[in-house]
Amino acid sequence: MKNWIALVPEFILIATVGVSVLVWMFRDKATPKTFYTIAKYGVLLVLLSSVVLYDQSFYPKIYENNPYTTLFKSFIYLGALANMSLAVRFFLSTDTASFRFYVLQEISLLFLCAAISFVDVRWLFCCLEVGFLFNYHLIMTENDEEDNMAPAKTLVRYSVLFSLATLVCAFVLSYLAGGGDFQNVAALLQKNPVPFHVYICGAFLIVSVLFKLGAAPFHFCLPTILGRTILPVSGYLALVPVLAYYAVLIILLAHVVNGIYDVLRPAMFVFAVASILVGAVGANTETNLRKMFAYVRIFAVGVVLALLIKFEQNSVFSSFIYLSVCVLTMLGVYAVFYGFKSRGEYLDSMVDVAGVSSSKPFLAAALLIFLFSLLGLPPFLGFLGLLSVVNTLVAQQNYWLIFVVLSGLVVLGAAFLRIIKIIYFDRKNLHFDRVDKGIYLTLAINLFIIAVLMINPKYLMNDIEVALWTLIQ
Amino acid sequence: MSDIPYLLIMTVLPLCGAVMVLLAQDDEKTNGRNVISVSMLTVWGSLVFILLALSHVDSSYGHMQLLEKYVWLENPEITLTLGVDAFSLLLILAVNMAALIGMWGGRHEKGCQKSCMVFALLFLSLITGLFVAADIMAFFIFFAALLFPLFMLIGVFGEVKRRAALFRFTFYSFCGVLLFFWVLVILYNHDGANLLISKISQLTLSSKTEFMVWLGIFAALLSRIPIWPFHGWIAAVYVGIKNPLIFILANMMPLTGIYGLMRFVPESVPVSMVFLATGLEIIAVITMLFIALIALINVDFKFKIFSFMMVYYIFYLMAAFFPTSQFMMNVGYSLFAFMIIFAALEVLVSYQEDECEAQKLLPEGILRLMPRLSVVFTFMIMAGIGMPLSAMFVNNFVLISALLTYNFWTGVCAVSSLAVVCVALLLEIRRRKHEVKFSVEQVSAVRDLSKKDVCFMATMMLVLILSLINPLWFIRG
Amino acid sequence: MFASAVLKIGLSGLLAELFQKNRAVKSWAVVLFLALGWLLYPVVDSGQLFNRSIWFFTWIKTPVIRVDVALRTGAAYGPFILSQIIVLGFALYYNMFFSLEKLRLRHGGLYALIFMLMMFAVSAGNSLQLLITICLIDVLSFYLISEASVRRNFVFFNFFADFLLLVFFALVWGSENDLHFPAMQKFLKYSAHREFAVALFLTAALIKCGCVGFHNYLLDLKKISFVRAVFLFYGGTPFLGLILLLRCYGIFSLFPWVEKVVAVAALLSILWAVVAACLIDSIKAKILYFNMMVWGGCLGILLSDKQLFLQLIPYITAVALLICCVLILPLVAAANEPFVSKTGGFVKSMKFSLVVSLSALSVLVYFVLGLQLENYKLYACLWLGAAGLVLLHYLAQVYFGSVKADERVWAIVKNPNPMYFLFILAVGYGVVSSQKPLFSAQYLNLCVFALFVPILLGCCSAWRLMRGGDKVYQIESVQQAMPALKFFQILVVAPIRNFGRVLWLTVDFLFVERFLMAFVRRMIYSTLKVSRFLHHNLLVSGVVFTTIGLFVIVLVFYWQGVPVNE
Repeated sequence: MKNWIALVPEFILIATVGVSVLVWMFRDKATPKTFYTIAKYGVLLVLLSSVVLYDQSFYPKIYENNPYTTLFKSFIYLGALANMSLAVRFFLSTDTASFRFYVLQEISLLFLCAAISFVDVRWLFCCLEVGFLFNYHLIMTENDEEDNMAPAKTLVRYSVLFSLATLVCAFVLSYLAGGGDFQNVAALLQKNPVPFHVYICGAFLIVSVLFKLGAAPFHFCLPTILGRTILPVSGYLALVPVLAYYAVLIILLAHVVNGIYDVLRPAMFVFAVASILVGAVGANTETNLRKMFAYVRIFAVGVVLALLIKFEQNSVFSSFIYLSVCVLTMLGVYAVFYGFKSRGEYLDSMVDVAGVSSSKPFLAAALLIFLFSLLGLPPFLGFLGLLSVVNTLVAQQNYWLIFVVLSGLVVLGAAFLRIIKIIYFDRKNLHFDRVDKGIYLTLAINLFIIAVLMINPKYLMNDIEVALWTLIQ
Repeated sequence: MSDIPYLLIMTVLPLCGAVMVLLAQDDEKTNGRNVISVSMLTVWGSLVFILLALSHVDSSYGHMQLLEKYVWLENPEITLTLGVDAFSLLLILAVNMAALIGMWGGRHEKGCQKSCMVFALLFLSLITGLFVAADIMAFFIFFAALLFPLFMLIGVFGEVKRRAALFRFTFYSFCGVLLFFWVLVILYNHDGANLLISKISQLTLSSKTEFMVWLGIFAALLSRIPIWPFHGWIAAVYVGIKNPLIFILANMMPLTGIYGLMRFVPESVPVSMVFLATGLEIIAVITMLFIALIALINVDFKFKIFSFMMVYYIFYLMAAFFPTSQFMMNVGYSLFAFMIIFAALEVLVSYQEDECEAQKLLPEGILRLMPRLSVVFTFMIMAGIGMPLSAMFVNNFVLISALLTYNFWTGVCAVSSLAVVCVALLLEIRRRKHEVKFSVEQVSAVRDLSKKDVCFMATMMLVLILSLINPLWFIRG
Repeated sequence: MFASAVLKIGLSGLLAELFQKNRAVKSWAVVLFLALGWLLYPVVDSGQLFNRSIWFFTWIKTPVIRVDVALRTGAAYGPFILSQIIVLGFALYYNMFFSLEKLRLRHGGLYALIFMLMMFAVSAGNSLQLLITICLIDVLSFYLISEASVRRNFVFFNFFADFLLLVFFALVWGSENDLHFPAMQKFLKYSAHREFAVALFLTAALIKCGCVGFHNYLLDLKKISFVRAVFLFYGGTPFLGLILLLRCYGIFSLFPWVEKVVAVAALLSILWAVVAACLIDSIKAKILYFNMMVWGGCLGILLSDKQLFLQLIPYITAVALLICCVLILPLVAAANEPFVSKTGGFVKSMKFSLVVSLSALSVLVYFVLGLQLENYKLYACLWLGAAGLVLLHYLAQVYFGSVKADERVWAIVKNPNPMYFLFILAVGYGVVSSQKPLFSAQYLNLCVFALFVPILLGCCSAWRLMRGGDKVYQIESVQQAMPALKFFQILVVAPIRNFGRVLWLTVDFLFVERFLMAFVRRMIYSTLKVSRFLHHNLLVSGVVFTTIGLFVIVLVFYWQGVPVNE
């Protein structure tokens, strides 16, 4: 029995896209704020409806909602909303059209959130791959330069290859399992001994998600892309889809590939360590701020993978806490990036933002707080994330991984110190434009949330724990 | 448990002060006076609460008192416990008084007065929290959190020229924090709950784990203390700070490491720790000798003050390894006087340097033009080198005696280092009182300490002398 | 009564320090002298000093340490107290009218405070009380010395000595857990580090006594006024050195080499003082060298007979002060002409002063020859001979030598005002009239002197002995030489400084910065270079990384040992 009510959020999202298209076609005086307003209310409605219909499944064998999926969808929509509110400042200040950005973002959200709810590998990966391929259009938003087109084209090539391979694997598994739903595929992968081709198909599903997450050694596109796109796209790609990919990864590990996970575990260890090291070292090699934080994201993904090596309740919980904290902090960082503007141009090179603390002390101070938070220092929120990570690894007696994580943090610390040095101690080269009040508002809200969660962490730790437990029973 | 949460109030009060400073009016009219007044009032308020807490503490009782528990996390279960004894209260008192002296001395410094005071009060709040932390998690939170305001104070307001040294220092401290964090989580997981510091030595750990835990604790706490071979760039950072308040606050950082070692290291050293303790003694002695000898040849007085601090800090650190805790109060009293002396010296030197810069004079013979400052300066130097003008004298006597008893040659090296660094300070008196011909204009232009300054310093001198006459005058029991 | 008097004296001194007056300073000095005299006179007169009494309070009482502070009188303490009263009396008396003193009230206050502390030092029954008073006396002496160059050496030598004492007493207390002096005996007998401790103690005591090698800081006192210099000599650190040796007298019996060292130090001090006193031009330096001779003699008496020394110390102090006071008369008369080479022929205007000086000399002879040192009579005579030579040499030059004073000085040379003679006469009379069985054959000694002195004086003048001395006075290098200080600087201070420089250069700079940090920097640079290279070309790096990833996936499958099912 199909419960169409469960698809209300998706319908709202489609409707939002439709309204945006209609406005774009027929309204001459459409400003960047127009599409932002439409998107904002649309996503708000979607969020509300998702929360209300948290346990409504469209068709239990294909599309299922539960507290776990609702949790992630809520976070994704909230992240998207925050990014949208920042993005409108960009479009307003540069006086460029925002239609493409907001519509593509809505479409991307549609596919990402749908992928989380699918309980069939074919549908799941169809949504995921289509959504990922759409990123090309997002990347090309307001981005016509030859230098930027080349990485985008490379990404497309790899994305197409990965997508094709993933879909093939998904369909082969479905065929061999006699159905694409998780139970059948899981049963196939639990056979002992598992055939090599079955193993490869199952493993490649994970590899595909790791590629999207930007985990090493599949990370090669991420820094270049994030560094070359416009700021709103960079912010979206850096912050929002990672939650969806993480959700999908947990679903796969819990319900699909658990049969071959013991075999895959050493590979996960290698990927985790590689991500941590590549992320930490790579951050030190960059002079572009966004590329640097792309590497920070790779590092965070590496830590998440390290926790998931031993897949259990506590490790899932800890990885989620850590990822949420990172995403929240990086959102703050990107908000600061919106403040780095000179003569109408957004700055992303470290050299350009030298000495910004002298004219924008609050912005600089906020960035400093976020950097210390990412390093896991108390009294900032990042400490909670790091505490969860190390606590879990110690409980698992995984001391080498702790060593790798902490060493990576030390190396990352060196990169952050470089930023601090440039912002605080180097001489100012450029004149910085006035910062939009909305940026300060976003920063204030972000800092407030961080402060509240630090003083009373049960909002983050306890209440979300319950939602996560529904997945891993 | 006490009814009034003295410890929470003591910890949070400087933070509230920081907020008040942010809200205080600061324009050309007030010229920073409001900011200074609010800051100093905050510290005076803290002092009142500290003395109130002292009146409730029994100095003869060795365990933590005035305990306060606060539930922070439920999963993992973490309850933060605050508690003090007379020793930690003495340190808090010392730190606050030193900060007060620093604020008084730095009140005429120009540039970012407000932000500087905010971070200074934040630092004061966090260091107070460190001294009242009774469990490992609370200790670590404050231990790590100190890095942020310290970095801001030194980097932004300290006018340090050698930036590379600052970054190395921050990086090095950060490594220590992470190491400590690792050990902390191991201990937490071993017990399944947040552990009181005093219970660490009672844990039954495997020999390998015990060794790793203690190695981690040692290395982490030592990262705060400029031990050899890391003393060079730490010295470069601290010595480069011009603002006296920031110099004083920055030089409190090694105190956190020493305090941690005094709290964590048990009376009877576990077998796995014997090797570590011996290694630490050797490094401590080498560092003391090194720093003392370099102080002797260095002409920068700030370096001499820094060396004086570090040599004494390491001397107190050695006391942490006595196989008995009966000397802890002696360390506390001595540190109390020591912090006041050091802060006063820094303020006085800073004043002299400012005058030299303003009047384009060399420091040689400057004290001849400032008779009031000369008297106070000489008093502080005399008290600092161990003359019986403060609690340092008797308590250092006890500590030197204990050190010589437990390890004779270590004691001899430590005492030699103390002597050398004191000689270095005395050489400075000689230099600054050297006979130099000044012109009439120069003589009249140089400003001596004002009457207010003299009264303030006289109060501090009186506190020091009172601490000699009756070290227990502010403690019951 | 004694304790309250001492404390009141201290309080008076403190008040004098705190409320210094710029006007009528002489009057205030007189008031201070009278006040302190009024406080002390009943104590001295009642003979309380030699009656056993104790006043104490518990200063520190903790589980770790207990320190009691006491003021005592009795047979063992009375002589010291009396000697210090004489010194205080001298200082306060001269403070009233000595023309070259300016800050009379301030100095008077300091004299009183130092006296009070000296009483605590004399009464000390435990090492901490002694140590604290020694250190506090050093601090106050530092403030008494107003000249920077004098303070420099004073503070360094005394700080060093105080530190050595601190370590010594700390060793004893740490070993015996007892601060009282008898515990020292046990420590000196059984401790593993006793030799080291004794070496520390001896060095400190010899520094305090101002023995040769460590005497420069005391000789520097020639740059300050006569009253303060002499006060510091007899009421300051050298006196403390003697107290130290007395309190730790057991050292001499347990360590025979210590006695030899002290004897050699005393002898060398006397010899050095004799030679230097003859060669140095400065009048005040000559006085101080004479004091150094006195102190050498005291050490000798102390080594030979402790009880005799205890009884003699007030007399030694009185006679020494007496001689100092007569030696300063030419300087006062010549309006502070500090050099002997600028005097000569003063007998024409200062006959009375000469008579008084010779009388004082006779008192000295009378005193020394009258001492009952059966086994050491020869040494006493030799000491007297040396002292006589120095003093007569000086007197002959000043009073009978050729006139070398300039016209200005010559015009004002005359006998100083009677106040200068009052003290001399009073003390001289006191020494001579004290009916002590110590002194025997006093009249015989006086006759010997009465014949001996004029002959020697005449011979000295006739033989123009002074010419040689006059020539030496012109040699600047001899007058400014401080060989002991140079010795320390070359053999002690310079090596330590150079060692510090070498350490800093080799370890801090070469090893840490140039080797270690440079190595770390190279490693970091190489790592970053490799990383940049790997990520440079997106297409190539994509292929490489993807291949590696897939290879890992395949590898783990076969590594796990799962058979491939084709």
